[in-house]
Amino acid sequence: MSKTKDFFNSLPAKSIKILKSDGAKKTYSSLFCILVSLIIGIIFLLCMDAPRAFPEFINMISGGMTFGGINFFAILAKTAPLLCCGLSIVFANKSGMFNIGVAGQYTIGVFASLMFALQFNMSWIVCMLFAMIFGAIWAIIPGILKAYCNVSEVLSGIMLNWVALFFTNYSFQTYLSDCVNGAEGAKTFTLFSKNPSALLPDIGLRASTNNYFSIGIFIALIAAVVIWFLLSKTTFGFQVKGSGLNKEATKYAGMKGNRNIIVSMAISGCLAGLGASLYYLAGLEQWSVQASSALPGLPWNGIVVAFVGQLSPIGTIFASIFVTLISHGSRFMLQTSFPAEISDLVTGLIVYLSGLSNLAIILLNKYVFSKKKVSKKDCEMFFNNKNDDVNSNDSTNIISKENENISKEEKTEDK
Amino acid sequence: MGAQFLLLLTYILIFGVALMFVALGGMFSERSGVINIGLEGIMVVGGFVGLVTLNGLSSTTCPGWLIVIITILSSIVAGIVYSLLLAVVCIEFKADQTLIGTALNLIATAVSVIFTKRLSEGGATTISFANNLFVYKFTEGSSFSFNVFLFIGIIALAVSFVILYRFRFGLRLRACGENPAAADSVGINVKKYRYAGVLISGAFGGLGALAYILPTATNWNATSGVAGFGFLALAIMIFGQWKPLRIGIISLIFSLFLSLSYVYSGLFESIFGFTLTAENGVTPELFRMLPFIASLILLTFTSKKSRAPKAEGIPYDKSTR
Repeated sequence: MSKTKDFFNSLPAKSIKILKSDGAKKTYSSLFCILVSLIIGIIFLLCMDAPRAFPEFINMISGGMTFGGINFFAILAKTAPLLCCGLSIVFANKSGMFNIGVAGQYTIGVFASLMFALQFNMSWIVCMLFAMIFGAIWAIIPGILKAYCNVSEVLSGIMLNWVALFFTNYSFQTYLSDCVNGAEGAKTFTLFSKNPSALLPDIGLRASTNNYFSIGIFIALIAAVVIWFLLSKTTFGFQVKGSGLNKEATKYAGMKGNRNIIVSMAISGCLAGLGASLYYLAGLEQWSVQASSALPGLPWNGIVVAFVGQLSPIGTIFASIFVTLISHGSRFMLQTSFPAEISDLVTGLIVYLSGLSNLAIILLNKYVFSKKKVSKKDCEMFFNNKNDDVNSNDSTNIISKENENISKEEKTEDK
Repeated sequence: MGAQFLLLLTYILIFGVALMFVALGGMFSERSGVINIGLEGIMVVGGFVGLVTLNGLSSTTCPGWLIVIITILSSIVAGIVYSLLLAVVCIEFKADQTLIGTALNLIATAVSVIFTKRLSEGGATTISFANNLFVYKFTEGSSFSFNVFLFIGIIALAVSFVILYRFRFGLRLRACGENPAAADSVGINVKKYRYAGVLISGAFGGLGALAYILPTATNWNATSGVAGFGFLALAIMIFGQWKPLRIGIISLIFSLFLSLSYVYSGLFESIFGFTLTAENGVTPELFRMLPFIASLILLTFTSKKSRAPKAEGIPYDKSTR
């Protein structure tokens, strides 16, 4: 370890500063989570079929991709909804809410976009708007319950997830049964056959990319930039972050904490609904009405990308590309030896480890960044600074304190 | 008509007992101060291991009663081991309990589907099993049946009540959930009791999974897992106000809703003389929605005066004492 430390300290001062910045440290801890999860994934593959494990693993993480090939466009198309779900989690988290109801808001978004596309034959923009509105309504419910009735948003969100799923299936089985193609084993009609105007525009590229390309990815990227702007450049964003950090303090400062919670939940649900419409209006899949007694998996991956992206809108973009890459790529593994769910395992492990990501930062500080031999201090800091709520600001607190210490040390050494 | 009501009663008892197990598990965990959102995942893992053990044993010459005991024990052990993943990270490293619980749910589904595909021929995601060792009838052909978990459930309820209110262990466990600093100051090892709480919830989760999966069907689809059962149990725990006897009663009420989704058409036909179908606007989904809506409404009205353990969800930090 001392060798890495020496090497690190021999780098030019400017690059050390960049490598020690908060953002960089957050990136390291994300990379740490990803790395460890992938290693566990490889171990699983090795246990199943050792000789084939490594080539198939490379198949998975490359997503079966060649630049400009069909899989490239498929990954772009699937990144868009995932990014929206990730942003949904990020925004809610900034206001101190853990929006576990994202799966329900997504499902109700599917319901709205397919209802308006197949039943009322609306164009894509109307369907998308209604998906966002329905998602927002579904998210406002836990927001209001949290603000005025003190109901934990986690529990009400979970209940609403299942209500959304059963409500959607119930609707398509009864009064919206015109949308369902009975001949195809109770799936909704494809948009191509019933209402092509509801498909997302494709700038004339759809036919050449195996129906994968649409403007969905651009909409999602715009959403990411808008959310970034909203959070870091506007008064509203400041208030939202404030009520996430300390609700009482923002109330004392004259901000409307309850209103902020409800509005930020609405925006969060809006994003989840947008994600649903980007997936289903791109014509990627049909909603299966009968068999689904499980919630769709994509919005859960939204939780993954939000935490891998360290709860920043820009980080979420990269994280969602990565997660789509492995979940799409897992289908290209030899399915008789390696089930595609390996990618779900890896993403689940990433969430699990991101619960521990502060530990990664501490370890880095201890073994790589520190000039002095620091043994127990960092660990004590890690354990003592953790208060009631563990969220991202804890880690930044620790980091900033660390930085202060380090800069003090540097000053004393300069003298 | 009588037969249909007996069938309804059968289902109520099956789901009621299963929900009660899981809710009791959640209760022990939260009383010790750890929120266990991962109960759904613990159930999936426990159920999977139990079913695999049952299938492995049924081809041997093992006597029936031994198969029953080993299957149940294997489920319990699997639940405990899986809940250790939550316990270690949340108690030792003070990670966010909600986040870790969510992760456990994701991992559980992935792992059980992977292994189910590997174990089955041709990559199917369902496991078939025989449940005749677990389900009994008074007379052949009767529509009322009961299962071994009914007895275990009654015992578990009584034991939980006694342990929580009458034993030193239970009193200390509750102290750790209400005020860990005070408990620590009189020499109680908070970490130890929190481990105990989480591991007990793991055991109950595994048991509840078997109680739900085994009596109702003869095959289990790993992709749909336990269909939100673990979450429903958490809601029951809250309405039961973290008290064992209330949890027992409320599980039965909730299981009435769930049971209706299975038997409503036969029941309705025998009373009113015509069948309900999707054309009449009634599908099983309508009834499956009900318990979740009911929980939501009840949550709204009870949360203000909720008597949750005061320190639940907050990692215990000695230095804040």
